[in-house]
Amino acid sequence: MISKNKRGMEKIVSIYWFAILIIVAGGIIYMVSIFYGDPYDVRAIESGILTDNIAECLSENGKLKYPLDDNLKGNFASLCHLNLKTNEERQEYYLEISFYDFKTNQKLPLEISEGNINLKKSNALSRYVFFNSESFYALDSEGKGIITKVDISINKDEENVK
Amino acid sequence: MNSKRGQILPENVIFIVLNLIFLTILILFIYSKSGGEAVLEEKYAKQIALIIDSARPGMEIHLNMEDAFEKADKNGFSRDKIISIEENLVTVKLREKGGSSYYFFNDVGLSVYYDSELKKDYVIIAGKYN
Repeated sequence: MISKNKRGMEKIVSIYWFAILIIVAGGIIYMVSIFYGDPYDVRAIESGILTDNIAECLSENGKLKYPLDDNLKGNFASLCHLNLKTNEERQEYYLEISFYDFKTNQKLPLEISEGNINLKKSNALSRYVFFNSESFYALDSEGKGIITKVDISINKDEENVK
Repeated sequence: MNSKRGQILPENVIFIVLNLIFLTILILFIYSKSGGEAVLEEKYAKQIALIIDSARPGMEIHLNMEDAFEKADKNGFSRDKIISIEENLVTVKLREKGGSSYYFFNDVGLSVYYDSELKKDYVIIAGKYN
């Protein structure tokens, strides 16, 4: 016959109970550490804002604000008030803007690119680089429909992924 | 015999107390992780960088940072120094050692200050484009 005291002691010192406690605590600590240890990845929002800024800069009331020439290509960053420098050895952004004729879907000769070319989708070596591509429609000065395609790559892996 | 049935064993009490202590430690761990300085610094640095990216000249943004102020006060860190902006890098610090930084791309002139009258906001003013 087991006494009441012995039964109580069994509960406290039961190795199985401690094993369950350790497994539960370990699991919770692991999950919480993983969840809060990883940074928030805000690059999707950031690329959305960058695309909006570019669209707002290039078009107004559905019309392109600037002629599609080399002047736009050369002064794009200053015209759109973008500062893509990140004061580090490597730049964290790359953006490429291409224009297409709406009717023929033919690519126009002008292509604008800014930032670190190594982050381009076809060149990027890191699997952590974030890519986003969006297009918008606008009319040029002659009333011709133009599709503007904006491709954005953002690295910032240390702040958002690792 | 009836009175014996209603007795609570001290071993059972110890068992329950130990379980409660275990649960309390776990809850405190989760609470400390979720509301830690590092998490708040990162959250605010990114939030402010995205706000600046979306800002247009002439905008005045009031950012409620009461939870961050509590942490900074606890660490004896001045509220005026929580947010600093250098070129296009925003840094949020709630303690002497540590802090989180994030780059923004909008080339707008900025002034940032702690609202010492309301005591719960930081004010970000977007000036002219650089």
